[in-house]
Amino acid sequence: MLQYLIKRIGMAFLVAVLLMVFLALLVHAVPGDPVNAILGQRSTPELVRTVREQMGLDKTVPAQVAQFVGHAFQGDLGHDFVSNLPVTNLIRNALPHTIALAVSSLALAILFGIPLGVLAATRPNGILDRLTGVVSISLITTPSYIAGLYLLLLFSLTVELFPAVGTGSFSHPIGYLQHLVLPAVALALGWIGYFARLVRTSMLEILNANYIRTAYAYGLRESVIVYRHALKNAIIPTVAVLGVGLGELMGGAVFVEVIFSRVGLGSLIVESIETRNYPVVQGCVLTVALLFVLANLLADLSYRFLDPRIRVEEST
Amino acid sequence: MSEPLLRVEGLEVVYRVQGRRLPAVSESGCGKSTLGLALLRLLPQNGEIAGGRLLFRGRDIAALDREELRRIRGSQVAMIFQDPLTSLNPTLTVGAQLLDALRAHGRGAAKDRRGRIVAMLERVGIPDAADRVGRYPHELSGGMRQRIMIAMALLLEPALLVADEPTSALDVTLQMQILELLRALRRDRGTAILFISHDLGVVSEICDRAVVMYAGRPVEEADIRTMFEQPRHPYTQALLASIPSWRRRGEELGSIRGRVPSLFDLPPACAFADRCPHVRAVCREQPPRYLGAGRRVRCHIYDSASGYASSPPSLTARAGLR
Repeated sequence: MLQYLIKRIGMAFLVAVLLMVFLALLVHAVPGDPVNAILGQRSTPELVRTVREQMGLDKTVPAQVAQFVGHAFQGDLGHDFVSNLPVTNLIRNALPHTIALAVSSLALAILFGIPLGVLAATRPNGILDRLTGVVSISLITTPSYIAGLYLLLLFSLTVELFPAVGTGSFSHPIGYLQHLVLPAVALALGWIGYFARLVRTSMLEILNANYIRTAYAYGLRESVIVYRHALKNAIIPTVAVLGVGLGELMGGAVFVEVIFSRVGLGSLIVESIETRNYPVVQGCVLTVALLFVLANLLADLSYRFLDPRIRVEEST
Repeated sequence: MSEPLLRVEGLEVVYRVQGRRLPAVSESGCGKSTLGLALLRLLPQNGEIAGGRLLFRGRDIAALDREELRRIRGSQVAMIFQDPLTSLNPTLTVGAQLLDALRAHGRGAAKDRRGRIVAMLERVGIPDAADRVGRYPHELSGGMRQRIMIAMALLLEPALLVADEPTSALDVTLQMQILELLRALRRDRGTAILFISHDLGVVSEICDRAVVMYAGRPVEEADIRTMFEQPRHPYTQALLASIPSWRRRGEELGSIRGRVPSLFDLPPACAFADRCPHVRAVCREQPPRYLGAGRRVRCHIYDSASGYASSPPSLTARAGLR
């Protein structure tokens, strides 16, 4: 297990380094001179030189890469062109809101998706199963920005239940949660459907297993069989996609944050792309990507924890 | 004598395969496992009891409601399954699975349950039982897994134990240990055992009475001694002739030509007719009756009203005993 852990963390580290190299090259990947793109009409030869220096564009490409990676490891992601604040500060302010959004969406997806899948699987082809089938597919195919817009129209404008825009502040938890509800639901809907389908499929398979027959043969209660004996096995494939899921949620957060005018990494990325604010884009993308790597690592480890058979294979 | 513990009356199980209803005869077996599963109403989704009755303590098992059925399962009728690896949950420790069985029937005080489980594991011969309760099935050997299954069955002290080929996955030494365990259980607690097996040697070790099944039907029933010494049905005779024996050293072993008939194409009269060395015309015309009380046999030879004696020998008999 320890050996596996070290190997897995090493891989994650390697991915992170490659990512930084790629981000350092991002400036050159976009067509046109980056400095002109940033300055636009304000461009003067002097300004161009300053910006060039600031971005390290006067150096050779390998040196640029080395500098970016080196700084990034020290927690320095450069400065925002517009405000001249350190990028890390911007990220530090935005990140908690995005994490709050992604985690609460994931929680909603787990809370509703898994029981829906279980209920559908226990009475296959029943009314509930057919209904959740239709609903799940509808939810999966609805993009979060469409869901977001409709939720906004319905529950903030037509029925004034939740605030339409803004983030609220952590110092007012209730207000913050009220601001969080609609964006989180918008982001979670697709995943509720996805989890429901996934859990249903694996539950149907597991419920036919011999050991489930054994559980019935020994008079265990249906609830114990379904939620303890079957779900524990059926949940394993779902956990495997959780890591990818969290990454997707971060991506989906971009749209939702823009629609609901929330502070967050997503809206920060969109804003800085519009102003060609390269350091901010780089910093934000790096953060999202690192979170993605971390989420995958955690999902992979918890998956191993759930399935004891894998635990042994790795330790011997 | 009062009501017998278990009574099977003309049980008929059908499986729906591609829309057709088939009698409960599987490729490998003759409906032995089906009988065991039907007893606990654990038939697969496409199977159902289509006729006859299964009476446990005089009550029709098919008529029990869900909760009554749940209470009987495990605590009154317990089953040992054929394949212990797939029959145990891979993600729960064996201790947890045994504990759930005890809990389901509210047996024992919560704090004593672990002790009971460890004691039972020791009884079925699991070394280091206190450590093994915390193990997962895949961490144990095949023999140990089977003993876990047996421990689960014994833990609830059922009146009837259905053992579906409990030893066929094990080597001979383990087989003997398990059989000894089952014998001790019967002796000490008076547990009735329905032992499902294709292995006549094992059957002779443990059973008092035997029912021979062929193509989904019982064909002969007798106490074990009579069955072995005076088998009547040609199928039983052929089966016994195929067992290697020390007493018949040097002789060629008997074998039965042909194979169990296809599910889709069961002979209309006697299912064994095509393979029977004594087949006559009547065997292909009329289904034999299952006659007798206690000592029963399903064969025209022993049915004086069947006209077997006057029926001409079948010229089309393709197979027979060698």
